[in-house]
Amino acid sequence: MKRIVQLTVADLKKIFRDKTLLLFLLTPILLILFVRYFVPFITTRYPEAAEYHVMIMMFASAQTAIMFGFISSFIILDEKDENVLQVIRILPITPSYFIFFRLIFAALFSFAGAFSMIAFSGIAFPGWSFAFLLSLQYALTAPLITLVVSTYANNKIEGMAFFKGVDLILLVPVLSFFIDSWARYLFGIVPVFWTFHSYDQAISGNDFWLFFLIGSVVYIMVIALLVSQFRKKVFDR
Amino acid sequence: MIDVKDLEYIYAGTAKTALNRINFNIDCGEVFGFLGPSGSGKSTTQKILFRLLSGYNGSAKIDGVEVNQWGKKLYEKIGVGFELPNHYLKLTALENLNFFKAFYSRSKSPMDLLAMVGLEKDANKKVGDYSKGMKMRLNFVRAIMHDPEILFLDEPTSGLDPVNSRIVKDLILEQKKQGKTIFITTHEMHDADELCDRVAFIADGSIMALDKPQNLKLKGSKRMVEVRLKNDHNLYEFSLDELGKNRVFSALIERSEIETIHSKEATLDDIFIQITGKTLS
Ligand SMILES: Nc1ncnc2c1ncn2[C@@H]1O[C@H](COP(=O)(O)OP(=O)(O)OP(=O)(O)O)[C@@H](O)[C@H]1O
Ligand SMILES: [Mg+2]
Repeated sequence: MKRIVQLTVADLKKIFRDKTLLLFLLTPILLILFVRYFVPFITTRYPEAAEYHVMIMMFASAQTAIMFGFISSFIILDEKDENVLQVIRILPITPSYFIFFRLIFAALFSFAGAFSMIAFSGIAFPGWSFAFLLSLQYALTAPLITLVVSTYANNKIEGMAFFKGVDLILLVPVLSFFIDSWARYLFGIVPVFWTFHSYDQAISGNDFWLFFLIGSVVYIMVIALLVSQFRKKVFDR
Repeated sequence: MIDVKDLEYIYAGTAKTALNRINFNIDCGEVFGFLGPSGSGKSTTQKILFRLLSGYNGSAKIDGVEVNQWGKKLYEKIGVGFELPNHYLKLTALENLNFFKAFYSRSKSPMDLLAMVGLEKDANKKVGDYSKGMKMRLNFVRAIMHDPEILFLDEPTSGLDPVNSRIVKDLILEQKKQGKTIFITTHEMHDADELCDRVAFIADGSIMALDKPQNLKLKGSKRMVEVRLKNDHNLYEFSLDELGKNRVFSALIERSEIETIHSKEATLDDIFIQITGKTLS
C-alpha cells in the first residue's frame, strides 16, 4: 500500500511539473467543454449535425480516454531517457508489479475521463449502465497506448510522433460507418472499432453485447501480446 | 559470496564477445576491484550479476545461487551504484530517495543519507538542477539506503572533484568496516590501490591478472633505487639488495647532497601496461 501511494504521488508530481503532460491532462477537460457547449451550438445553427452526434461522441470519448495512455507512456519514456528504468529494474519488485501499476493507473484515469465525457457532454447519452460499460472498454485503450508507445518509442520525440500516428489510426474505424458491406469488419483489427460500434448499438441497435464482448476479447488479446513485448524489450528479468 | 566461472557475454546484434570466459570470486567482506580501460567489460560483468543483462554463458552465482534463478529478493541483498546518474530529474533529491525507500523492507532515513554526502542543503532542489558530481553522490547514497550486504559500485568516483571523491572513498571504506562485500569497477589506479583487497586487470573482456594490489606492484617492480644529486644531471641506479654494503652508493651520498631518492616500485598503471599492453585511460 505504501508503495502504491508513493508511486501515485510521484507520478502525479511528474505530471504537474511537466508542461506537455499538463497539456495532455487538460485536453480531456477542454474536449468535454467543447462537446458540451460547442457541438449543441453548432447543432442549433445546422440541425443536420445532429445526425453525427453519436459519431462525435464515440470519437471524443476515445480521444479523452487515450490521453491518459499517453501521459502514462510519457512517464515511462522519461524513465527511459533518464535511465531510471534501470533503477526500477533492480528494486525488490516483480516486473509485473511495475507494469500493472502503470497500466491500472492509466486505465483508472481513462475510465473516469471517458465516463465524464459520456455523462457530461449532454449529447448521445446511452443511459447509465451503457455509459459505465462503454467507459470500461474505452479505459482499455489507455493500457494499449501506454504499452505501444513505451515499448516502441525510444524517446519522447519518437513518442510525440507515435501520439500523432495513433490518433490518426483511431480515426480510421470511423470510416466503417460509411461502408455498408462485410468489408467494414476489416477495421476490426483496430480495437476501438468494436467500442465505436458498441456505442452505436447502445444508442440505436440490438447488438451491443455482441460488439462489446468481441471487443473485450480483442482488447485483452492485444494487451496481452503487448505486455509480453514490453517485458521482452523494456523490462526484461 | 560471488562466484563467476567461465562467464561469457555477447551483446545481441554484435559479433564481438564483450566478456571472454572470465573467472573470479569475491569473498564475504572483501572489497574487490575491476581495473580496466573504457570498453573492457567492467559494466557488462556487473550488469550480468544484478540481472540487467540476460543470456550469458557460463556461471555467475551470488550466495551459491545462479543469478538467473534469483527473484526479487536479490535486490534487498544487493545495492547498485550505477556508472551514470539516473534519477527522476523533475523530483527533488529527497523525493527521489523517499520514492525508492518505499520499495525496501528497511531503509536509512533519506535526510541522513543526503547529509552523509553533503547534500542536505540541496535536499529540496530538483535533481535536474544538480551538477554531475551531486547526482553521482546521490547515486551512491541510493545504493546504500537499504543497508545491502553486497555493493556493486560502477566507477563510484568518476566525475567527482578530489574533495567529493575523498568523501565517497571514505564512505566506501566505512561500508567495508561494517563488513559489506563490495565490487568496484574503476579505471583509476589510485582508487583500486587504496580501496581494494584484490584487483583484477581486465582488458578486452578478459581478466589478465588478479591479485592483491601490493603483489601486483611487486611483480613488476625493479628492485632498484634511483638517486638524483644536486648540481648533477646524471641519474644513478643501485640495486636494493644489500644496498647498505654498496660502497659506490655510500660514497656517492657521502660526497654530494641528494636532490631526490626513489625506490623504483611500479604503479598499478605501469603493471597494467606491462601485463595487458594497454593503457588505462
Ligand atoms: N548495449 C550494448 N550493445 C552492444 N555492445 C555493447 C553494449 N554495451 C557495451 N557494449 C560493448 O561491450 C564492451 C564492454 O563494454 P562495457 O560497458 O562493459 O565496458 P566498461 O569496461 O564498463 O567501459 P567504461 O569504462 O567505458 O564504462 C564494449 O566493447 C562495448 O562497446
Ligand atoms: Mg562501464
